[in-house]
Amino acid sequence: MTPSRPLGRLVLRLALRNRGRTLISVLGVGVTLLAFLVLRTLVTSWYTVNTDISKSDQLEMRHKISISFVLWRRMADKVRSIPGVQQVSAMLWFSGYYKDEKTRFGQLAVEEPYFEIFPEYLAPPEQMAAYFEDMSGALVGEELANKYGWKLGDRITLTGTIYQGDWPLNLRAIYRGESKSTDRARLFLHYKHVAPEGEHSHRLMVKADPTAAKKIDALFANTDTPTKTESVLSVERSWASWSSAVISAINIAAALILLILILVLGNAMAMAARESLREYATLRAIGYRSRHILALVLAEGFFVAGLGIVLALAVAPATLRAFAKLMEEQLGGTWQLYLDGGTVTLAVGTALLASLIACSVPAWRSSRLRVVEALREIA
Amino acid sequence: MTGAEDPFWTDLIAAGVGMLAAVALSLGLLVLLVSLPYVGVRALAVLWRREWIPLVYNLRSLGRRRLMTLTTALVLAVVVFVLTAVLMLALGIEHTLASTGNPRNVKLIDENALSEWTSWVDSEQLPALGTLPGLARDPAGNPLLSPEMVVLIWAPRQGAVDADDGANLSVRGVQPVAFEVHPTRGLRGARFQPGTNQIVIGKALVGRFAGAELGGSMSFADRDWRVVGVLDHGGTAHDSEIWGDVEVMAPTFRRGYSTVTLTLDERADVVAVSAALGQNPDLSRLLAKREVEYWRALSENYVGFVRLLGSVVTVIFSFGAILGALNTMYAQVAARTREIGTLRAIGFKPRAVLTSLLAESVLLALAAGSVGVLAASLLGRMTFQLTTVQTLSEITYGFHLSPVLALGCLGFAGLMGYAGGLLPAWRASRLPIVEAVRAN
Repeated sequence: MTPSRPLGRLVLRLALRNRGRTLISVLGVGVTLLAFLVLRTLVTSWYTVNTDISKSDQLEMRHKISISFVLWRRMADKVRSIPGVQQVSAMLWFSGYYKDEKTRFGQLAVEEPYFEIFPEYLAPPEQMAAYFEDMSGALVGEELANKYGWKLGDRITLTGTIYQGDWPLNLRAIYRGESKSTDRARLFLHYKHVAPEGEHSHRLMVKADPTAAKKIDALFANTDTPTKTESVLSVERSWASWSSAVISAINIAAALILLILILVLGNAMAMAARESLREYATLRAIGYRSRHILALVLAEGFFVAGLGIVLALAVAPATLRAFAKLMEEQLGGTWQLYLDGGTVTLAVGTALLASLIACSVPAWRSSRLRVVEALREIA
Repeated sequence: MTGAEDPFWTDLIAAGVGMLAAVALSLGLLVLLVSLPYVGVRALAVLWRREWIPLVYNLRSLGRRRLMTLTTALVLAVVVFVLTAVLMLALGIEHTLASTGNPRNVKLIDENALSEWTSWVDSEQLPALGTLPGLARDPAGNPLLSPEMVVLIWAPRQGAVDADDGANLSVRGVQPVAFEVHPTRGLRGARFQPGTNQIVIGKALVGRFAGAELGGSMSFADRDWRVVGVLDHGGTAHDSEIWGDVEVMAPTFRRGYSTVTLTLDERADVVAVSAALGQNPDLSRLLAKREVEYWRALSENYVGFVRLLGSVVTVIFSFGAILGALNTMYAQVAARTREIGTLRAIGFKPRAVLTSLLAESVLLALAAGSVGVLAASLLGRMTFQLTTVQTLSEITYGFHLSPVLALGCLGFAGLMGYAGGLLPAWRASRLPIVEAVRAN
């Protein structure tokens, strides 16, 4: 006997028998999985550690003794003379705000070579030319431009904190970013504009062979500004590691969600199986094997879980967008939360595994029922 | 969903989903709100006329379907655990930073500075500061006025394998008066000898950074510093700091004073200090902040983030839990149809059935919630380290549980039980007796 075809229809019938509970279970799976997706996306986008090969030649120089000490801009000339070094740019954190003290975003005052070191922040050539031409020009990421509705040529006035006063800037260029992991919410302005007579630089950004880092540090080792040079990648990694407590808390919460998913679905499937005892017994009586019953319960569980997964995936992008907006309104800053393939795969994979665990007990129990007793008990 | 794609469809879906979610949420809230007086009146009537179904009936019923009860309780407990733990984390950060300040202390900071390490105070300003009104004095009559230099240094972790394994720490160069201005809870070892390279470290650093132990030697700013004492500041941010003689440290770091901390006597307040600063043109660049406020402000953004994250996650979590409770209570009602019919037949009113089942659901949730809160309270002994954009240095925090927080989380558990039990209980109370007793 090969009851494979009617089995599919049976699953559907059984699942739709108690529609209220099936709906509740689907919602339960969907909602918990949605929470999982939100949390995992938050973790992956927290400090986007871009592991592209292209980044290994991006180095960051800072004062060795303290991260809050500044470097000299003139040090750039010495660094340029080191073999393996291609470009050097000074960089200041402008740290201003836009209109309201709460609206802050990354604002970097840089020199022209910066965009050869970080080609990911590149706008169309004619826009870049216009930006380089205009001393009070600004280059912003498309995310930021969309958020505040800025168009090319607009005047953006920032209020400085470190560099006091109002700073009217002309929007000359908008960059799109190479990949999703590029921060598309930055504003660049000219170093010369912020500090026309400036001698300081918070950091020096260098495009060089990674092995040049040691040579750079050796060059300044015995001066009054000893330096520490490392790749931008490892600076980002350090920041991520310093937040590891919160990140692991989020990860633990994500793991607990899976536990909730297992319990909610397992509970629902146990109830469904209990209610369907008479059907299972009848099926067994007309020749279905216990393995068919096992498959039947599992299939019903996966049917419910699958609907839940589809629901969660359909709603996730919108939820992430709303969540990002909420964060921006409450905390300021710019939040880029996008679902990526890895997160989706992980979520679907773990959800399916969780469903398997959740349904295995009721499925196994139902498959082992004693037909005669079950029929008698119910009658 | 990059900006390169047309955002129209995702916006449409987002709007649709948002509206659906909003409608569902407000419907749910409406049902809960409307039900409260409905249920309340009936519950009061039941209590008033002493016609309740004995609670032991509910307990036995829950006991009969042990597995189902346990899984539901576990779900509720996990949700409450996560909620409590996240809020404890946020409260811990806030508590650690806010309790760092002494309520009677005022911090003078450069008006352009965002934090201590970007602030500068000239040593020529110090004599004028000694004449500020309301300064507390030590028994010898010297004002409690502590000029301090704060810098961030890089410290490698204990047993670090590569050079990048470390964190930024705050170093505070102080004069001996700092020990009066920032009273400490205890000191192992001794205070640093002025004029030497001796340092005292906060207890949270011990054993976590290279050389950070009594008798050890830490190296920063191209020098070695001998650890002669370990300070206990009672779990505040100072416990993550290194203190040394400012006269030695200032030339080493080529830096002047950052801030000045004052202790005021009982009658004085920060307003008088601000006014006095404003009148003196040499001092008008300094801003007087209550020390507590300075530290609390450092926690604000991060705490806001953790709280917001915690609430959003908990709302989503609790949906799952409510659905679980709903399922369980529906199944309980379905399985007990005949019992409920019998109860009705022997004279129990519908309102008694409603109250009884709701009480069952709420009590189950409260019991599960207590387990969750208790489990979370065990975290109270744990500490964690964070470097935030506001502090830039690594600070050790503890989880903090307050009675209000514990009660709030328990209340939330009760609410989940109520929301999950409402519809099944209502349905059970309206079952026709004749059909109910015949059900199997």
